[in-house]
Amino acid sequence: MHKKETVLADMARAVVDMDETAAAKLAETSIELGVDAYTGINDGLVKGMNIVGEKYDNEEYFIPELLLCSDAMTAGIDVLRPHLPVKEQKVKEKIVIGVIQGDTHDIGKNLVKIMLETSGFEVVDLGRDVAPQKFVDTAVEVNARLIGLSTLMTTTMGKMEEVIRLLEDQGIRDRFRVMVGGEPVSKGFADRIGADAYALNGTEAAKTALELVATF
Amino acid sequence: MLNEKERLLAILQGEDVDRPAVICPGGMMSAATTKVLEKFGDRFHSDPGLMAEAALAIRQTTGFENLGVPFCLTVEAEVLGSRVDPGDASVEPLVTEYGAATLDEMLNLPAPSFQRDGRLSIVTDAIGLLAEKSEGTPIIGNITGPISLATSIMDPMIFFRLMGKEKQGVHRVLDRLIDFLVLFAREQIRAGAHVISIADPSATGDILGPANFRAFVVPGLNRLAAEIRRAGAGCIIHVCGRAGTIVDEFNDIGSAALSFDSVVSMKKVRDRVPGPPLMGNLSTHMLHTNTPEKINRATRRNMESGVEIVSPACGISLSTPHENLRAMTDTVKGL
Repeated sequence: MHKKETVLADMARAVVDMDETAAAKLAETSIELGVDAYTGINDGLVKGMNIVGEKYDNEEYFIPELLLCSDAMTAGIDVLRPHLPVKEQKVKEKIVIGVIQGDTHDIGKNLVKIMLETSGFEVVDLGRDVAPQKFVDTAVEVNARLIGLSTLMTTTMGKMEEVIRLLEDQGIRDRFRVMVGGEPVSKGFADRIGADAYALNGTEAAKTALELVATF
Repeated sequence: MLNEKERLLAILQGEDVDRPAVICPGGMMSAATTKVLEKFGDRFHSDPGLMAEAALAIRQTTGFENLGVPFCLTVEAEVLGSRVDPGDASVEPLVTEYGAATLDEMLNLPAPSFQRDGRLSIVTDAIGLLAEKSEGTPIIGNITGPISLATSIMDPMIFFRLMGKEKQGVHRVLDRLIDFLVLFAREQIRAGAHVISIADPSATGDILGPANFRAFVVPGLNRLAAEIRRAGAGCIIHVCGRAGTIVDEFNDIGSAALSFDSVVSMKKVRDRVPGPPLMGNLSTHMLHTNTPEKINRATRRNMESGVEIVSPACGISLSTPHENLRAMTDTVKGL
């Protein structure tokens, strides 16, 4: 039998153990025990995912493990979300992300997505091989303030710069913060094309995005 | 004095030679730049004559000591159900639609015909044409590594999850894909390839980690390398990304030269994996953006790191200047 005190730790454990079924079941238990859904998400599931992030950074977990942990977290959140009081379902900060045109490698981008979601962002994922104009149009359309561009190929780096030029041409550069990442990209490159930030990997990207929000 | 073919084959046999070879194998690691390709219209991926001509032109322009086909990593995925955008002289072919959504669908894919399906015979015919003209130059055929092939047929995000959830099913699928890759490698060798290079950019240490690499990658690469040697050709395996967590696993892969990305220290690899010939690993970013003088110095440092084969560290950018590739090959040749 679970007690209030242990159920949160067990939810975190289920995420770390990649156990989707247990995470959903424990989320139900937490509601039955009277734990509020917001606490269940933050002090249970997300806490577990943060441990997963540490294990990834320490090279204990890799992409296959990370994906399964994220599935477990999502299964738990799906159970808890309907129990959130309306005022806690506050509007999330939106970020538009995608792999720039000419590149279909999206493993890194998907990782960034998971980490951003864990950090509370609403991620609008445009997928891979995305034209520069599409980033700009979508960001305007969904009212996002952040744009994240990823690439694995040196060939496509020029297209990242194009996104920034398009924002400037439309006179809306100030409304957005643009971050770039991916294997061939560097801090120097980000500065050169006029991006606001560079992130080395998924966990960095989430931290960087939070920092960028604070600059508005 | 050894010719280019004798030197590369001797190196791959583990023999001592006069100097390192300098090559760019083809496939994912192709030196087919836009500047060379634009002279051949848009059918160099799909016409054996043009593919062979382009391979000869690449060697002529860059000085790499090999002929390598094809120029992409999509030939196998295309005959196993995926849709491929053929690209052009400035964009490499890309998988745009996956051929399967489940492991069962992958297991039930019909066996491709080497005569009729996709570009399989384009590649072997091009190798046949090169064999007639390649006197003294090694021909390198290329195959897609098993994990990269699997993740070109199925969305990688699904496949990586299944590695954790349905290990047996994933093993069965990989075995089937390797059966096919062995046959394709044999066809290329029969057509005249002297060496087969395997690139598996999705099977990196960063993505999979050592445990998955040991379970899902090492046995497959071992079997492929053994079959390629048995069919009478040399074998090269290219590994992308940071390899720190998986380097030791290569002690269990016999009979292939090992090529690593530019982030990997070849000296450290040599310490930890003393056996096989090493190939690598000039930064492709440097080759794209730096000057011939700097590339000359970097190539010298690369040779001092103890590699037997000098090569770009990964797939080069299509807009890499030829003078830069020349600077690299001339330096190795002592010109």
